[in-house]
Amino acid sequence: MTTHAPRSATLAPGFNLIEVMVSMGIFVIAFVAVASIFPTAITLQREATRGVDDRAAETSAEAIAKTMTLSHTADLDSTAPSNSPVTILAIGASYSNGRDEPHRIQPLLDDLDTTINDFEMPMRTFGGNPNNSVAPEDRRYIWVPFVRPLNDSASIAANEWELTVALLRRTEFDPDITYSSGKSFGGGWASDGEWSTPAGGEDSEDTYPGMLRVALTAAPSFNSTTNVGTFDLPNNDSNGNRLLIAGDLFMDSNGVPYQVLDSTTTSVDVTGQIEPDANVGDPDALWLSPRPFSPGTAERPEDAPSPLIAIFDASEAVRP
Amino acid sequence: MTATPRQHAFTLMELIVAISIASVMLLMINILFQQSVRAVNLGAGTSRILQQSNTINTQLAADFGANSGEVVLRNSLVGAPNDDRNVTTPPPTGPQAITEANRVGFLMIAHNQIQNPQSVSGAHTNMTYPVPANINESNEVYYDAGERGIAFFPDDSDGDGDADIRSDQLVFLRNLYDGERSITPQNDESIGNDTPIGAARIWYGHVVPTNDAGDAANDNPGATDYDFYNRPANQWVLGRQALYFSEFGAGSGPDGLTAESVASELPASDTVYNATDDLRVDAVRTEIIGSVNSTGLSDGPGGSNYSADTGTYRLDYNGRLAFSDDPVLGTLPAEAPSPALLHHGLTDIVPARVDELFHVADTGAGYAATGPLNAELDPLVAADNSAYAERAARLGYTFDRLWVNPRPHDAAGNPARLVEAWQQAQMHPYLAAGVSDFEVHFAGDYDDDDDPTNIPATFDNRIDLDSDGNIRWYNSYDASGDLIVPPLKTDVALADQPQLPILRRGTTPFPISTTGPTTPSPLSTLPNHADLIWAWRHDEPQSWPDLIRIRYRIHDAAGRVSDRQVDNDYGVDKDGDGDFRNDNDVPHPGRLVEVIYRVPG
Repeated sequence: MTTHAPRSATLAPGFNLIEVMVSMGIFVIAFVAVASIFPTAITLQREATRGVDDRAAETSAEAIAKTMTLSHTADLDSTAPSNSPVTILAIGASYSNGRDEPHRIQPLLDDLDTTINDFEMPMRTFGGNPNNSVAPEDRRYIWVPFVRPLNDSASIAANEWELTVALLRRTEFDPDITYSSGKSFGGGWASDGEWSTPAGGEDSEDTYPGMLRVALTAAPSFNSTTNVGTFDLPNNDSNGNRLLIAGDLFMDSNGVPYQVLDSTTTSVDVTGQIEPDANVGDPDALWLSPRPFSPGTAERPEDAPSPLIAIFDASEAVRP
Repeated sequence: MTATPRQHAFTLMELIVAISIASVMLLMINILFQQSVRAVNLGAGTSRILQQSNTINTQLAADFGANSGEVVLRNSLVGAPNDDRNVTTPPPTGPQAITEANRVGFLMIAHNQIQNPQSVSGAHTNMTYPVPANINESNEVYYDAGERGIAFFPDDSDGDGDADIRSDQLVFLRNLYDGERSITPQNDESIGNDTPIGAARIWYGHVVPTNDAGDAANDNPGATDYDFYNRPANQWVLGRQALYFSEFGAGSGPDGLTAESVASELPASDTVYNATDDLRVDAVRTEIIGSVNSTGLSDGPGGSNYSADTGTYRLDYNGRLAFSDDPVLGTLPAEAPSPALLHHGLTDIVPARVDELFHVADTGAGYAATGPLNAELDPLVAADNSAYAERAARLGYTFDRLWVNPRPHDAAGNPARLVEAWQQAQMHPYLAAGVSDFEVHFAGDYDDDDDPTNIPATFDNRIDLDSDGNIRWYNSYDASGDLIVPPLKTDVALADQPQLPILRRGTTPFPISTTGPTTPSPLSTLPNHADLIWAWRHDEPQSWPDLIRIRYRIHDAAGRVSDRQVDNDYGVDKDGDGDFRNDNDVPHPGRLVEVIYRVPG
């Protein structure tokens, strides 16, 4: 009788379910770690692309703004305001909603009447329009002009007007970032602050999209030890999102541009002292452009770019 | 007998689960791998595009003085320009008219729309054509081996049903930066300390890349030869050339020019100044007065300075290359140097005074009107717009495209032979590869009533706007595919329009706006590489544009980047959903870049 030699009783057992699950878990973690690199890389690439675009856009906006003609006599009311509220801008309409003050920067008002003037929205937008066929509100960049007189005398000369331009980049076509409104650069903000449109005035989105005025709650302060100036303001929207975060551009109501050093929901820090204006003293508000909402949410992601990409002077557009 | 324990095998269920898990893992890895490859490729292409865009934009900004605030476009050449469109500056009428105030520069924009570029020869089907053999397919002039790709041409920007490509040219004068010097060899007798170069002619446009030996199979792609056009879009090369005008001599005449300097610099035997020259300011001499070759030897007039052993070529003592015995450039005229030096990219300097380009010659003492240069230029004093526009056309490369040698080296593969000076010279105009469209638009005060057929009696000194308030960008197409043109008088020939000199190709149908002029007979003198020439007179600065918008479409080497991938603002919204993101939409190839510059005034 032939017998078979007994097989080893020490054959390796197979993996049990726990082992498989553990190994799968490790694999998934590693997989996710590797995969997470790519969105970051894509984001960085998009930022680089955006940076090149924005530099060219700044060149373009500056060229257009300085070439336009803001007639000292026909477009601006050179009769100096001495009391508030006043009308210092007069491109076909007054601008008096309670926040006008002499010598504070004010956005130029479009009248959108039958006469086409410089500084209206179509000519303040560019980019994204091959063959000029894209509607102004759908173009990629828009620049928003602000003016203020530089003295409080009875009459203001042409060279005594200051024209400051804020350049905004529309990002609604960004696949990851959308705005709540098709035309808006911020959208859904009427109850949270004052947009740069006269209350009850013309179509705000068409006329002055993008720039938000937020009043300061206290005079600016300065910490000489840290060389940090601080604006106190409600730096948050109704959903708790901060309006300004580190790196954002903004300007105060005297037309001085700043970049955010740090911020909380109640204050914004900048480097250096905040100098008062000779005519009106400390600024009383900030002009800014908050970042957009994430799609379908009330969140303003802090890694999304602020629409406001440049602030520059174009005072030479004010002509005698 | 004890039972033999049987080995526990995997059950079917275990195998199925394991295989399923493995399949899922493989699928995920495969997806990750594919996305990684795509992201890396796209990233590489995007990086190259960004690099090229930065190069182009930086150079444009420098030439326009956009960053420095320095007015370089026509600053000291224009004196105090009159921006008021209602004030006419009369052209100079005599010797006394030559003053600093009216020594102005010039500006020329050549419009060129090449229809259906990838199929005009019939030899290649759209988008699948190979790189033409005569454009160095084997030596990777433009791209790394294995990376060469094909980029499609843009779709039909003028809406006429054919694919097309814009190949405009932009020419203007620019003051040289402080301390900027010619990039050609020089010595004290030419571009030295006592003969400063005050200005350069800046030119932008497409160029013809050559092979390694500096030879182009076809330097003049015209109506019958489409080799140039048949290249893929990502092989078109954008060129930029600064042609330096040496203001030779120093004397008592205007600009210090003396009769002696003119006569001595331009021998009587010089035959360059003839009516057939492409560029009349090309004053490169035919005689070698004295020369130094690259080994330091010098010869007297007429000496032979070409060394067959070293392959070096002589340079004349004014730093201009001499090619009369150049075996490589055998196609050049025997009496070379000649105007071909210019469009072959072999020189960056011409001995001409800026004010003589378009200006009256001083007939006063010390500046003889009999000088050959003056004799040629004098007729321009009273030049009508037609002659003026033609002269402007000759200051670009509208007759013959400019050659560039992207990677000069000895075609025979002789490592001992150095890259020659002329080969280096051919490299100078090479600005950026992969630029298919190059469009130049302008805006200014030409119209006040939105009636393109009516030239207003007075101007409002504001940029023209359309009825919607948009800036009217002339020389671009509107949504209907019509060219947007300033208001033109319908009873006046194009070239004699009071607004600005215009030349239009005579026989080629061109989509001038239906509201534009149709009655005037177009001229027939326009060269091959321009459908339309816009030229701004030196003596009418108030008619100059205020803004120039430049658009170019740039491709990566492999043609992978499209507008949809880089951004989403351009494309063909075929599904009509208002964006360009849907799969049904067709993105334009490459990336359209736009930048606007101000014309200093």
